[in-house]
Amino acid sequence: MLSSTSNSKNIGQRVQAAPDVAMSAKTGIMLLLAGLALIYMALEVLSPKILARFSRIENRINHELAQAKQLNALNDGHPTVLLVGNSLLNEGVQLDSLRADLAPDYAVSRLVIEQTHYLDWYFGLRRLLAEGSHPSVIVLTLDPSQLASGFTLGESFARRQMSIRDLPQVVRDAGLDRTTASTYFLAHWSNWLGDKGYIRQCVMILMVPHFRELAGRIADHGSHINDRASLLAMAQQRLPEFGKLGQENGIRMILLVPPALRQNYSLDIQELGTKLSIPVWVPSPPGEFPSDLYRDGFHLNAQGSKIFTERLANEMRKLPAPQSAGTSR
Amino acid sequence: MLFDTPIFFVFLCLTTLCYWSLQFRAQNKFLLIASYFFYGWWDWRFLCLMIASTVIDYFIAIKIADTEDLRLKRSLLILSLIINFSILGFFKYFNFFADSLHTSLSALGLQVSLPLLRIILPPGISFYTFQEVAYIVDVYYERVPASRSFFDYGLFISLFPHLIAGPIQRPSHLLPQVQKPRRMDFDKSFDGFLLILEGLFRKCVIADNCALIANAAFAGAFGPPSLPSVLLGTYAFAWQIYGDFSGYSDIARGCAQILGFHFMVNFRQPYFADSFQDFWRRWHISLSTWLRDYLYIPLGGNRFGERKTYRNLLLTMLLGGLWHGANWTFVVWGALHGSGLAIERKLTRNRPALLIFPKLIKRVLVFHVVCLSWIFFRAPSLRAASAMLRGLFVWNWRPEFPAAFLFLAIFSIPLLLLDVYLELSGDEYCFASASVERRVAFGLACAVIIAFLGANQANAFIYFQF
Repeated sequence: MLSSTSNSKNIGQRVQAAPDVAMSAKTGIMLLLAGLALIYMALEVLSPKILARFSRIENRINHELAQAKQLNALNDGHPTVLLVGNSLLNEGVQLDSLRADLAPDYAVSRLVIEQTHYLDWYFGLRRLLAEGSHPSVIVLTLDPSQLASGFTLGESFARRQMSIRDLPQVVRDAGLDRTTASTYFLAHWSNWLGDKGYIRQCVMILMVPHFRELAGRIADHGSHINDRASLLAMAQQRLPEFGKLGQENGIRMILLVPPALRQNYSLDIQELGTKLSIPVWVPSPPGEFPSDLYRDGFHLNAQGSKIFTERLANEMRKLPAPQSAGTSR
Repeated sequence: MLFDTPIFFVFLCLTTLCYWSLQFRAQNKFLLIASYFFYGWWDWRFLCLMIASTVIDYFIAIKIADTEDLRLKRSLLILSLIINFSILGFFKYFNFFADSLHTSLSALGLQVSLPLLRIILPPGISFYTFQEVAYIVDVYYERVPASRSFFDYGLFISLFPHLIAGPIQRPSHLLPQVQKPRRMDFDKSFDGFLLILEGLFRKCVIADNCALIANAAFAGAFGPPSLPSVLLGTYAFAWQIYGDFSGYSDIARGCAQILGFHFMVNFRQPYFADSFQDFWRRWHISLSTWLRDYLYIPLGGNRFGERKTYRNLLLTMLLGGLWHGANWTFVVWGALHGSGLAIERKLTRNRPALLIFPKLIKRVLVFHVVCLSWIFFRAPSLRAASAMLRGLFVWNWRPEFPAAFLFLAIFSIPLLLLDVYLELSGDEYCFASASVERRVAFGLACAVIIAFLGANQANAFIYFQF
């Protein structure tokens, strides 16, 4: 049987035969560890720059995040609305049309982070608000399964959206084990850990033609919950928590449910929201939009998003004027 | 603690630094505590179970070694086997057997309500149970002396690099290493660092990326099973499980070497096997040799005629399959391998002409039969496995398949090439016999590739669930 010691012995013999030329294993270890440390430091420093250079999505997120952090309740005297969500928002709402539709009554901003679910946004909004953002209205766009999900976007979430003091609650709510919790803790402080998923994605886009289409199939979206009782139980727990976050900050919080091809119990959640006094908007009930309004059975295409954006604008026009609490800052 | 997470490297660095600053006896005590901490990191309750099991076997082994009474020796051996397999059986198989019995009785028209418990499987229980059984049996047959130090025995069972997913260490190999002082050996440590990096490459780059394709295919993300999706899923899983488990074994061996221990090689280019027998000499070697020495040979091996040899092969592989998990899919997987071994034995004994097939053809054939068996290993149920098999006869092409096949090629061909190199060179890991400078360059290249192509999030090693 082969053994690594036999190889080591060979190396040892080689070192003895030519002591002046061959490098010793001890020096090899030192060089290797130094090299690893250098690589790590380089990645820490360079990863945001690499992403800024290669990732259109990352640049968009950074730009939107910076804008969101600057939001005040009023912009030129008009209430501000921050739309947050994942690709369902990105592809379902035509931002420019919505802005044009609502101008000058509302100033609309958007923050989209792909593959995010409720916990990403609950803790993400907590941090955003703590860092000074203060829109009049926040509209969180999620489908009911994402509202009920325990999924988070891993290290990227820990770096970008999670506040370190929320870590114990993240661990509890997302059911993290100690290993994952420790990874989140470290990722919160590390550019590299937070960004490596996006960097890998950039590399894969360069290497594999049509990788984006493939990524939609193979990405981990967490488990899909489509059981009415489970969805309502989670909504019962999460809607008040979401509403309370708004109350504490003087912000109107709204949950927006995008259209779906199949039953997703969004109307039940809307009803529950009414009971709990948390607005849940369902501009298109499940099954209303035909499949030709979807790009892939889940995200809307241009035609579908046009209709949905108009309906969203109508919902927003019905909003009561913002309370003075929102304008106090 | 997973080997591919940052916290493990913090743990490994701190443990290594403290460990080498201590004297021999203190080293063992410290390493035992560190290993218990490593294990308890999952769940402290499981640690109590492992310690209890270790304590029981420690005292039984001493009693076996001390007594002259053969009947008492035998009784103690049986007692230990019953305790070990009862613990394993309860935690791993209770619900499986209760559920299977319920299904069988229902099929016979008998409605019996059997209790199903919410049992969480303690990590690594199959591995440390097999190691304890090997120790007790070896002490009984006087192949190894019983350890008189609990710290030594406890460390042999729970040394953290092998604790969760092997390689299953033999008492005759590891126990003497635990009992003797160890010296810091830079050559071995250097090997250890490189093994860790190669292991991380196998796990994070190969396995975790192939897992994306395999998971999608088996979850139906490419639509209902069809020939392309089944091929994608099966090949991806074949490279995933190989990269995953060989990567784990390399990291475990690397960590052990940094601490001055040597673990047996667990994989030797298994997909180059030209027969089933050859496959099991190359795949999960620590398990296959355990099954051979503690199950197949005690059952009679090949000593009692052809029929009994086939029976023993089949039985060994069935139990080997069941060892992997409490599901009929693993039983079928074991049965396929057992039948393969038996048929191959029959064919090569009676028709040596089969031996003259070109090696390449035999390798390709064995690889594909192994891949076929992986469908049962990976599928969550027999129904799902048979749906995948039926998919082999359905054609449905989707636009994302070219990208998926290219993705799979990008992440499986490097491991194939690595194996070609290892097979030709006879090295244990890449560039093992090259100069130190080249090996440093190889290690750093591995690190850069892991940094850029390692999958996004840490995934539990597949064998953790066993």
